[in-house]
Amino acid sequence: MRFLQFALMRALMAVITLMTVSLVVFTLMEFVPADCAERYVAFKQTSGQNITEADIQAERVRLGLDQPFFVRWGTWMGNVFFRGDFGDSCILRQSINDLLKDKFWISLGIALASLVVAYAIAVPVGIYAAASHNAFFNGTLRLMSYLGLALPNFLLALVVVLIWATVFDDLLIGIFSAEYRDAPWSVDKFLDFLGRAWLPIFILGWSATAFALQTVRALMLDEQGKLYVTAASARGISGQKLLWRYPARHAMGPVINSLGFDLNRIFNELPVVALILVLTESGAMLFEALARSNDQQLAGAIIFLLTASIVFLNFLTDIALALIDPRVRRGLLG
Amino acid sequence: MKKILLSGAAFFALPGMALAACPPITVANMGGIAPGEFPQQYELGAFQDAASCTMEFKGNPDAAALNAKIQGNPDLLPLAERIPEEPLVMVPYDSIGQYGGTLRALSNATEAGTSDFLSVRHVNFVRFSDDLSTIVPNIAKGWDWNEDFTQLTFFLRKGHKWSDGAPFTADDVKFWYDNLNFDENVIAKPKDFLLAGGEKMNVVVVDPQTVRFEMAAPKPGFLAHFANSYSQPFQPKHFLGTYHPAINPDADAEAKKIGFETGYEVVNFYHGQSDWTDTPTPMLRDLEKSTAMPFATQPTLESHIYITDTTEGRKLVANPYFHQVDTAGNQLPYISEQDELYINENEVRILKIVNGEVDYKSQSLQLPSGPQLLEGQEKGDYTVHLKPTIAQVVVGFNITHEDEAKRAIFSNVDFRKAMSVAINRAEMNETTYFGLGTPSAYIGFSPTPAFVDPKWTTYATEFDAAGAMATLDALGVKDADGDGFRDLPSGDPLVLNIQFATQGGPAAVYEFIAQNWKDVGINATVKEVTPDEYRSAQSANKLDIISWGKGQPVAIVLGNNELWVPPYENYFGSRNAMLWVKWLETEGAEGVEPPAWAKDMMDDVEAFQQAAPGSDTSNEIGARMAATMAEQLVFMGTVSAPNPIVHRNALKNFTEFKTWSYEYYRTYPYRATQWWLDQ
Amino acid sequence: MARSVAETKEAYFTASQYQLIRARFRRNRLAMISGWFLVLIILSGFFAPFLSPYDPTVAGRDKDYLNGAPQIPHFCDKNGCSWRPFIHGVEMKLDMTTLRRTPTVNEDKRLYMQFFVQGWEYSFADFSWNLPGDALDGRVKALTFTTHLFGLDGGKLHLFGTDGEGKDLFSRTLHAVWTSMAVGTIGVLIAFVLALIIGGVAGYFGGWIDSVIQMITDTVRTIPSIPLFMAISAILFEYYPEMSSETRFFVIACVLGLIGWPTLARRIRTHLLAERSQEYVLAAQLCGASSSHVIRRHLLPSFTSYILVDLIISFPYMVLSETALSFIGLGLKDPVNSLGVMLKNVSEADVLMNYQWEAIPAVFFVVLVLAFVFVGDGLRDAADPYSGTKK
Repeated sequence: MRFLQFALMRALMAVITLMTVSLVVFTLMEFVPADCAERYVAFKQTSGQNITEADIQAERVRLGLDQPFFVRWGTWMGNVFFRGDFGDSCILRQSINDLLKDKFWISLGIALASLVVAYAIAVPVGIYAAASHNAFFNGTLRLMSYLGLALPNFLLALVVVLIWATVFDDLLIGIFSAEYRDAPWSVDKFLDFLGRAWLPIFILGWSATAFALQTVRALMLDEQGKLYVTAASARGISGQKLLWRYPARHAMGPVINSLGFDLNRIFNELPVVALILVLTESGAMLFEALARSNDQQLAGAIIFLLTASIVFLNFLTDIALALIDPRVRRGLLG
Repeated sequence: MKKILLSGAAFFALPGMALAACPPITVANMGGIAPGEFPQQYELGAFQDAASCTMEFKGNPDAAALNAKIQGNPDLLPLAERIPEEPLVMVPYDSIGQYGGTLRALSNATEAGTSDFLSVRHVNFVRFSDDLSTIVPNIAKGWDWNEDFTQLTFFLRKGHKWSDGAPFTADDVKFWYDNLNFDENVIAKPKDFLLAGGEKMNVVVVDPQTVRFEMAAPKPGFLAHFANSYSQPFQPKHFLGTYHPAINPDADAEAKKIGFETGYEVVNFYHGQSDWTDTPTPMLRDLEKSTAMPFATQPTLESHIYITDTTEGRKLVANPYFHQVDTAGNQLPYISEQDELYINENEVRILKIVNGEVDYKSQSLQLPSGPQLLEGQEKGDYTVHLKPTIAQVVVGFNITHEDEAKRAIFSNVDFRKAMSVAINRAEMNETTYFGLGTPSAYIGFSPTPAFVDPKWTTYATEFDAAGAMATLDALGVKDADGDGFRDLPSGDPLVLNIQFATQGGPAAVYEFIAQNWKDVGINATVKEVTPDEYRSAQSANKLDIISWGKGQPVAIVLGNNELWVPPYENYFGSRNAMLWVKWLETEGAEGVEPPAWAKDMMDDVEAFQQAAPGSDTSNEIGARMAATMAEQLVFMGTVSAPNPIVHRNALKNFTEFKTWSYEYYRTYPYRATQWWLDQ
Repeated sequence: MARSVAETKEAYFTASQYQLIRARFRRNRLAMISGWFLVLIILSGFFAPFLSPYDPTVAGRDKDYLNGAPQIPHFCDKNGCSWRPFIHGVEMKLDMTTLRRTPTVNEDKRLYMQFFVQGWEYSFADFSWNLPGDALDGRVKALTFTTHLFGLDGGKLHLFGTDGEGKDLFSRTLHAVWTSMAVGTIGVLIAFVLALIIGGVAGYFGGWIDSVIQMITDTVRTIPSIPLFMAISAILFEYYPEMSSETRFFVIACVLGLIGWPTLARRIRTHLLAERSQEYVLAAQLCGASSSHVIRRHLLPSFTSYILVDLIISFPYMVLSETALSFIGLGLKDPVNSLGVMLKNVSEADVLMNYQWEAIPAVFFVVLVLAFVFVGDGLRDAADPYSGTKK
């Protein structure tokens, strides 16, 4: 019962956060230059029509741009929350849902896979590094992990692509090969996808490793100093065994808790990597929408979706933590 | 002498060869067959007579499979019924091709940077031959002008069919003209090229194979229009007419059956309210809906037809009813499929080409990428040709800027001249064009016709930073706030925000110009945008600086006045003076009144189109038009330089292009239908 | 020298927190090396104008040496040795079949290096700002010099080569390092001040104030920051295209700071919440100490070391963000040079394949970030009160 209460509370908070985010995003997008009405009317000119002020006004009314800010935000949010409809992009003159289709899921898939890679490296390395007294080995491990952060990911992506092209005569760019581009999802298409997606996953994962490692290291150091560890070592448990048994387990709580923000960090880097690798997923679309085409609706929709997935992941990790650790539940309900 | 001897030999041998199969001649080896009326092609009868043979037809062995991929197409008719009774015989350049393969092409995005690839499958009544001066038949087998250039008659091919097997007739031409271009539910305002002396023409269906355009004023350039324009003067009446309320009284009822409110909605869903052949097809507009519709895209006469259309690219298959055959009787096109991929990043396009993943590309390739492209030739197994351009990159000031202070200064011709001489074109040529270009002014016509005084081709192109600064000082464009940059006479800051798309010109050129302008104290910023954004901002009158390629040959100006009348080009090109247009449209009620020279130039181009080409009157008017264009500096020329054309070595029957240009519709003169892929 | 064990112990127990941290940090060799490297690179960034032979902007370009390879001065060649380092004369020729410029070295022509030469003018204090509105504009210029460490007699020396426009990469790199550091510093400082205020208020007062602030912080923290940067810069630069490059620089730094505060704020708040309930605070309060006294004298000192470490750790992330932003064209632009601007230039296949020296700034970038991370790790370990007892 208490757990249900906790979960509901968390869900409510997630929804409130989402609403606030949608307000922030919507406000920002309002400021992106390019008046939708003008753009629509300008396009109509391709078919020979000329623009008058009256046309623009009429278009503004048709698009609902003459409504007050909060009404437009409300409409937008209503459509998003209840109908899953992001409206039309006025630069591309297409429904955003059609434009995005499975592209957002591809981005999310790549980002989550990178997250898994990052922790698959960071957790063992972090725990080991905390205990190891081999300074050289320790240093090398850390150097390798931090290199992921220090090497600019776009440069790394380009270098890998160029080397791959010279050695294997295959350009690792795009999400799918020509054969599967328009095909419906199938096992083969998925394998084709993996054949290319490993590169962004590797690059994003590597660079996320650095931060994950810093977190794990810091937590391990904190935990190691605590009394229960001293107590355990007094009982004669030592070395790796001690490490894995006690502090590692405790350190995992905060790590799980920070997963959502790690996803956030990966989303940060996704557009840049996607740009270089011509991943026609939502990261690259976001870049194009903001930097090249002032496509406010598309940019807003993508930022909102990215944020929503972070909020959702945060919600999930909260629930997971509460399941494992009853202290968390009590913490929230006071 | 030798030629006469050979054809004499053919004459004597005639009786014995009457029933022989036709010789597979090529442009490289004509086998002694006399050329026909037009270079590199024959009408079937003429060819059979010339070679004294009877042609046997063959088709793509995969035709049935390809036909099955075209949504809504009925089962394939037998080959004899798929080829017109009067097919066009194309003489291939080097070899009789093999069927099959997929031509891989790159474009920038939906409706952006696509014309290069559109031209590969393009058809029109006529086309320019590869000498870029002879007009030769294509969809029409012939044409006829009346004495005073007011009536143009086209003769169509008997048995010619749309890609779904339905007959193509003169009614399809009239349908295109009357029911699409002159129906405001489809196209709000007809394009100028459809008018003669400002008036609608009368399209007369003489018989199913004869159609006549009757004009209110002479328009000798109208034929050339059909040779170079993207706009195809026919649409499938048998299909689109079903949903067109003017053709079918039950159109709306038909539309409801497939989930639309009105018939016009269906027509526009297919036709896209534009004659461009790359407007989104129903497959892109609404994939789910399109699968329930009779066709995924309307039937065509082109060599290939769309089978998929997404935001990533499009795929096409060969039209099984195409009207051309080669000299051995093989129905064209040879290439079975086409695959167009959208990539907006120049850098990535180059990578794809260097890696040999593109069979042909010219549009959007620019000289600054030359070294990289040349270097990759061997590895990518392709060849690069550097060919002169017709249009050059121009920059123009938005002379009817929304901001009145800016408008006042931009519309001052002294200011424009100062900004033009502030550009160091010689250095631009050295650093970005490897010294291969020529600094030049923009005069509208390109190449420069003989009637233009050569002094205009270099007007205000001589670098003179000191002179530019002196003029700016005199105009009151001085640094008022001490930030190191000049401000508007009012004291408000002046910043030129140069937005450009790489499709319109190399980034290096715009950055160079911005630097030159900063050197004379005018602050300028450079931002790359997508072609889509550039165009809509341009037409919404939101730009400071207009930038794109520009310039047309005389032959095209004769049929199309768009470079000479505000806004000086269409939505897809570089246009300016949007508020003058508004003034003209509303007859002075809104907008800004154009100056006298602009109004004079509008009259001039009309007179130029009506005068007999080459006559003294025509030359005099033409010279005046070029002089005004150069002197007013509505657009400033930069450097005309060659650009790269790339084709894979496996792409056969590819002839070297004369120019790298849009103006003759890119590959259209070089007959992409007879290209084939050596696999 | 020979201090007794008791003395050492005594020193240990009476040492201040900073002395302890310093002592522990010194024992970490990797962190020490990184630290010295940082000092070196910061100094060379500060003295960049003096160390650079040429103006890093397009004004200092060498148009006869475009995409030129690095030139390494030597003392000896086939014609013998010289006490003064020299390079050979080079001429660039455009090969019309490949459209590439290839160098021809004239081994008989020696160009000697000179030291303390006069060159382009620079000043160590030159600030001008051009904010919207005339009254807010201004300029300060002082400490102007024209002397440079080295130059070349009768030619130009490019230690790191040149880029496609002929700009000297050595000069550019040094300046870029300084710019990136400056952006990072301003960004971190703004973030720090914001975090201190917001986190401090939340942590000290707790209760509903804390809940509201936490909600806002979490929301800002949730939105991916680069997309947020992209949106903010796209908007700012669209509305104020007249922004000078210096203002742009400042704005970018502010944007970085404005978005970077939540993580720090959260740490401060958590720490304060924890410390607030410690006995010593209660003791102080019972003695009648005011809120501000408690915060200043007791709470702040208790975690300054943590905050400093956090600042150092968040520094490379600021630099990275600037780089990403500049890379996508929404950050800094010429003539202001940052590592991001320079990395953008190398992110072309052609440059990477043919003009690898243009990637030298990337090496600086990598080393700079690594140095910061290691120093940060070192400081964190040193600041951890338990780390000393462990080893």
